Amino acid sequence: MPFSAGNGELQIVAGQNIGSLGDAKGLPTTVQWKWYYNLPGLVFGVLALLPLVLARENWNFRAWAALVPLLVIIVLWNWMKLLFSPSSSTAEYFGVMIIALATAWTVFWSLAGRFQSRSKVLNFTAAAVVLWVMMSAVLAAGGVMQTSGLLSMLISQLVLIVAWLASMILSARRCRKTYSPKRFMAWLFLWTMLTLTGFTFVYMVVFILVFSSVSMAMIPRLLIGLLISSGLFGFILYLLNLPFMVLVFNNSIYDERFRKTFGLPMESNNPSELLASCGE
Amino acid sequence: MRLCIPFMLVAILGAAAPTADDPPKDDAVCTLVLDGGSIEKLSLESDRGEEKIFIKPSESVALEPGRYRVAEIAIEGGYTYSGLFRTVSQWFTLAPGGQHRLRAGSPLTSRVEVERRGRILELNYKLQDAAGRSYRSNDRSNPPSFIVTKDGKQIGGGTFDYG
Repeated sequence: MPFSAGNGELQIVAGQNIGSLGDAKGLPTTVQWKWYYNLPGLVFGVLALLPLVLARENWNFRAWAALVPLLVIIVLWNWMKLLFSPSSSTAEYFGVMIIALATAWTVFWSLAGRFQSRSKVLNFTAAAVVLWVMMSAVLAAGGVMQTSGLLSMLISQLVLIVAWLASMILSARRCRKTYSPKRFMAWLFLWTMLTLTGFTFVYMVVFILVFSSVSMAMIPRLLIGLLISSGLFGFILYLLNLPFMVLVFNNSIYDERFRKTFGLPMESNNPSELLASCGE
Repeated sequence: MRLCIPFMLVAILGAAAPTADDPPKDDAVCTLVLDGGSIEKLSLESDRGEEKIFIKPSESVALEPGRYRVAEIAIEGGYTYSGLFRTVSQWFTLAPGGQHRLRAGSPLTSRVEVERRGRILELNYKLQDAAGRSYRSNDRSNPPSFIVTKDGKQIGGGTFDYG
């Protein structure tokens, strides 16, 4: 509902021309609408801004560039909606999902400087928790997370986040000796596809076996469907991640955070080191 | 050829199912009074698994005593109700010599179920008979519409998507 709906009682009447079968105008349904029902739509903005305002390392104009990929994704999503005109409920559902993921990434990169302790397990866990909490908060505020299916939704998010973090770490491992953005992105494409397909595939197989009663005859067809859909999902995730990687490669603050967090070689500013590397 | 077998089975089973023209064999005949109109086909299922089909039934139909539920109703204009996949079935009992009033068919009433998801109101259109059964139509040329009003002033509206 638009903000102009304000506060009060809404009456919704459905109707259809059914000829002699009944009245064209149906019975009214009354809904109590509160002005603050519209506020959750803004939660993602507040969450994205919080680490930029509160964390000292972000008190820098260049650090606020973390908001650019989020805005780019929102603009592109709205453009896609115009292009494909999905139904309003489908558009809202996928819109909230995309914005939730983009918000979680914005917060992740805003706080990336803090995931650099000695314990890799601790760093990974902290990053996963931040991404998970942010995503869940936006999804809950957007009304996507309902009580029914809450557990599967939370697990799905965790699978997505762990798969993404794993793909970033594995790509970084392949670039420790010879790093370049292009090389990293090529490895990231491969690992995003592999981790997403693998994690989603395992998760869905477990989910089907535990929660649903599928006949054995259906399993081969389901597995092929799962492989295709999880591969497609991985490709979409890679595309959504692109604006953030463009930020990382073009903004010195995020480039440094990225290299430190994922253990990549730092760009040397020391003239003697640069000369030495030229000599090699 | 594999496709033909189910159709043949349906044809054989359909032919075997008693219709309104088959008089009940039991002497103790019960009456099902139909409270509603425009019914072109009424299909009942008994608790013994038998199917009773009535094509363009009159105001009342004769049935053997037993427990029945509505399996399918087709009414004018291509609107149908299917009770086959209902998890909770409303059975009614016909005692020997007794009668039961079944509210089905027209008049139909348009209703809208509303569920709020965050800032979104999800509207679900239902076309129901007096007993609350929902009817569907395959005709996509006449989609139902809705309007949203506040304090008597229209603030929104549109048509429903199918599916």
